Amino acid sequence: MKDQIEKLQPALAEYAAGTISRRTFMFRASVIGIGVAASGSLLAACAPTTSGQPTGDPVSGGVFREGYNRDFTPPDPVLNAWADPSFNAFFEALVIRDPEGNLVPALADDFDSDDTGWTFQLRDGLKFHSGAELTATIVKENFELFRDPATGQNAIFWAPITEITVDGQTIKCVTDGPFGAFQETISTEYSYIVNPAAREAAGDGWGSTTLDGTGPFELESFNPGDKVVATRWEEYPGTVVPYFTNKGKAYLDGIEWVAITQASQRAPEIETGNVDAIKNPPPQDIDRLKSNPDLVVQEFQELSNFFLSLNLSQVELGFDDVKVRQAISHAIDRESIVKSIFLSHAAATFGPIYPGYTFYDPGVEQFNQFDVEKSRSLFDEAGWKEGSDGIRAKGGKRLSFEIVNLTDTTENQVMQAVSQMLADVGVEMTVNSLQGAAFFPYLAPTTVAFGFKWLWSSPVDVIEIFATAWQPETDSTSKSHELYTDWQVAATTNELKAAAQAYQSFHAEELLIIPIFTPNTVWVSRTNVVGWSPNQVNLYPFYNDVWLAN
Amino acid sequence: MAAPLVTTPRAFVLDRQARSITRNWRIAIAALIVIGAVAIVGIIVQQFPDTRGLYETQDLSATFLPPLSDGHLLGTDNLGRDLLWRIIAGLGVSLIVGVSVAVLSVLIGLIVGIFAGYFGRAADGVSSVAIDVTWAFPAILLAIIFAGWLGPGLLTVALALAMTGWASFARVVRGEVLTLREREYVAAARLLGVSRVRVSVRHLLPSLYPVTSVMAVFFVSTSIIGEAGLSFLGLGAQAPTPSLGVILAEGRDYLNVSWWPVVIAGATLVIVVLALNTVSDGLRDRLDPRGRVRA
Amino acid sequence: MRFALSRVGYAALVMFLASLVTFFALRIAPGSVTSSLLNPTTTTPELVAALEESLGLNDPVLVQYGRFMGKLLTGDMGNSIVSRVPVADIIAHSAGYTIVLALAAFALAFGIGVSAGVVAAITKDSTLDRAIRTASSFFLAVPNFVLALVLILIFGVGLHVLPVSGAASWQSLILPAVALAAEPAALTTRVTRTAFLEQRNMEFVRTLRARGVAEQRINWRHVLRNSLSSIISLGAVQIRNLLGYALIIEVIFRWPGLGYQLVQSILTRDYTVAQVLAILLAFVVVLASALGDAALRLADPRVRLGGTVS
Repeated sequence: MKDQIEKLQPALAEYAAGTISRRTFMFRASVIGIGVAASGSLLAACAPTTSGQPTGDPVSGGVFREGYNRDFTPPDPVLNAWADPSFNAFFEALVIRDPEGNLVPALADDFDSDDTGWTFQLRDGLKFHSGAELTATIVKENFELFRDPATGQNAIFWAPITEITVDGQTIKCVTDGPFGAFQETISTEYSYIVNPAAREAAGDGWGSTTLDGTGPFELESFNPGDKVVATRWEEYPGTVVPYFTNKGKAYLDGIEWVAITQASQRAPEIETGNVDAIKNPPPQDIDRLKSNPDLVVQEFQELSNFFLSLNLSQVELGFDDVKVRQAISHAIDRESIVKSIFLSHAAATFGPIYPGYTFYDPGVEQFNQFDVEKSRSLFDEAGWKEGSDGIRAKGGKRLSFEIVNLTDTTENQVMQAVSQMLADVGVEMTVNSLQGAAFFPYLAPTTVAFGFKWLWSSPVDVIEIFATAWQPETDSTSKSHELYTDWQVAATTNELKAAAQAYQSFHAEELLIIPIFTPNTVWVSRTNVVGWSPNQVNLYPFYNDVWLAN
Repeated sequence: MAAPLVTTPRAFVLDRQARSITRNWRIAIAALIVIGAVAIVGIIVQQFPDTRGLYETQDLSATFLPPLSDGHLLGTDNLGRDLLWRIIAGLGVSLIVGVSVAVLSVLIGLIVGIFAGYFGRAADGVSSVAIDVTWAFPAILLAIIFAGWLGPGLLTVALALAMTGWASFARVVRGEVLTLREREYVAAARLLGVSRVRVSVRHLLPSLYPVTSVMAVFFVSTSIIGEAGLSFLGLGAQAPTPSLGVILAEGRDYLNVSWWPVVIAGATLVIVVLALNTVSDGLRDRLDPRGRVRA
Repeated sequence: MRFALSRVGYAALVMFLASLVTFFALRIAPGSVTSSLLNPTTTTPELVAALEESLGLNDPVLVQYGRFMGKLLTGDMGNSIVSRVPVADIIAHSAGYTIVLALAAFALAFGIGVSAGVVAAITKDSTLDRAIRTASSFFLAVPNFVLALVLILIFGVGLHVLPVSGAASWQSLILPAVALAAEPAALTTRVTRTAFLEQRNMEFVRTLRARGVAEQRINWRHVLRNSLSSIISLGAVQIRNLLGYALIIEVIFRWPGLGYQLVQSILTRDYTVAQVLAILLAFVVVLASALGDAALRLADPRVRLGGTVS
């Protein structure tokens, strides 16, 4: 036991410093052979320091100012480009996930799943901000909106659902077989419940001038580029979520979200006290914020992965040859990127999914390791020889291409670093960093290459899209579809795990996407903010428990 | 401005100013020669793959080195690239863009201004509308639109700056031409049947030389600032091409850990502009004392 | 009267052309507003198509323009495509911020500029005068975004005393206003000094002095008043420059004014907002130059009517 604990020391230190999550720690402990109970007590002994946190009874009142790292989009679970933190204030889902990743009741007080589908038991006495009643029929209307490809942008994840039936307070999503993956879809922000009649009536103004949800706050004003303001809903019926300590209406009088799009301005804003909380200060500010006694810093692995996509239809550039893709991947020094650009506040990824994922497959780490010699020999094997100008060529065609990425301070740097690393093995990659509206049209079959970071709480679903949607139909994509279907129909946890791992190993080797890194999400709050608890599993914290001391 | 009531005291004032201006002027010209030389080095260095490494080579283990570090006189940036060489190369880029835009703006301004002032009322009407619409359009707006259309880059920036910059000069030229065309030799040439174009080239242009030279130098200065500003916003030079604006933009993201890229690039920009402005002022005092040129 | 009408017609023409250019340029530019509206990870082509149809983006560009102008002329500015907030609301919300910033900068620029210029003129050729002239040359050469960065470095990052982003409190106004005011202040200083000195050297001043009027009174009542024409004409030119600079300052400090909204709307291809704001911008510039011309004419009747004042 003693040397097992010794082996665990580095992980303990990282947990105490806040650089790994509880989940990752537990995983490592289990790998070493330490049981859950033992590691749990070890953890309790060195929880991340939250010095100066007030204790005592919650106080009602105050406006919580939260700095957001993007600009706002109108809060609308049905059709929206990006889920903002305000979703958790205005809306609720039937079920959500607790910090351990388990589904727990929220608007539904009971739920079940089997081979015929998923059943939810809606709570009694629920209503919307406007006073309209939330009935099972209205839940069904929501689900119909979500699963119709013409109205709901999450529709593809509802595909296995054949119909929705209602019986009293029970809603059933009927399927032809087991659909274990639905647990991830049903608990995301795009399954939050809205009032469809109000949404229809509001038309263009929905989300910006008015919204009608069931969450503990109501919309007061929506000013993109500036701030979004919410005020407490006095008639909130309460919540049954087990891990929320506050089961009644919110403590806060209101919330104000402020957009701080320029990364370098986030830390100064919270240090000068202009905001009470921020998300994702740039890596070089993190240590300074951690040493500030007025601030609490929580760091988790982000539910994301940054990758490069080389389109297999580019036969002239050799992208259809898996050896070329692997050669490119081996030339990338991921650890160096993580260390220098992220100052270790990120993780190198050798497989398509972030290491903190419930069903992460450590087997992917045998692939894509940094190995310049291997890279060069793979290129030579594939027939790409170095030319006189230092760039490889085959059959007269030079290995030179342009890659597009969505502009972002750190990601642009990564692209530049990768460009240099590829130049060292004779590949010329020119980077073109574009703003949002100009970038997204590049997600198309005609694009040679792009770099992008997906951010989502159901990773396998997302990878299936990015690995295959714009690639030509080949044996590789067919295999991917096959493995994805295995995942979707998995019934038990073990089946899910096996399917997920097979999926990851396949993609780590086949490289339909070339993973590079997963950053950490860093949440910073002032010490007088209590109950604001971001965690590894949910995209954003919930506001039910938040209160401001003094 | 003031009516020419008293000439002597004004000349007296100008004379006193002239002496200190001349001294500043000489310093400025000397500075410009040095800057020009450095910029040419910067341009040359960007042409050959081997020398490009001087400012492009990354060293992820040596990021954010302060000035006076081993092997890096001005330190390194966020990717470990040598700052001194980046500034030299960036200076080259800024100067090329600045000079090109100035030349373009002056040319367009001359053509439109002469057209407006000399080729009849219809021409004047159309040209004046064009001038005013362009004048009302901020370059930055056009640059953002162009960047969306052509993609960001130095060409985009240069086009945007040239297409908006000529308007103020065209106004001045038009005003000058309106006066010049009343001169006898101009009217005489027309009577002899010489085409308007020939008159413009042979008679008007030479008389426009004073305002043109003052304006040209001033344009180089504003274009350099313009390119830096647009590159700073991400619309201009794209990585890894350096430009003073790009260095400022990258430096800004890391102000918390390294202030020197911003300060050094900023200082370079200021020195260049200061030198150009001083030269421009000196030229104005010599060639255009009545202050006809006001941008 | 006819003159005023022709000015109005002229202004309308300029605004119309500005809107035309912006409209077509945005439509031609690659990139689509739909990517700001839909999560690209999960969007199906059907959804994108449905959205574009409902926004009327599939109609010929001329038709779209006609529709836009038609609605605009009846007072309907439409809604932002991205946020669905009525454009009128966006303008109302942001205009306040921009006006506050512009006024603050203007006040600073003129306040400092005129005082420094007068002081420099009165103490001509002294150390103080030379110091002021050096400072004004310096600040004329410093681009405002460089100054903004240095201010952020010193007061935000270094000393932590002033906010560097957003518009939370009146302190947030300080750095942006200073950054914006520096160059106009320098220019005003110069022009004031020159104008003041020119006036002082004129006949009438010597006459006043011979008649025994106090030096101070000469300075303030007569010289300064006559210098105003130059200063005012400078002001008109500066307004147009100020607007261009305000854009970049608002973006750097994330000051949520019209300039910031304009840049954002173009970057996100939010056509409705961008078009209206572009027209608004053209309108303000034309208005400013018209006001400047009018003020100049009032201040100095010797100015030729109808010609270009340069």
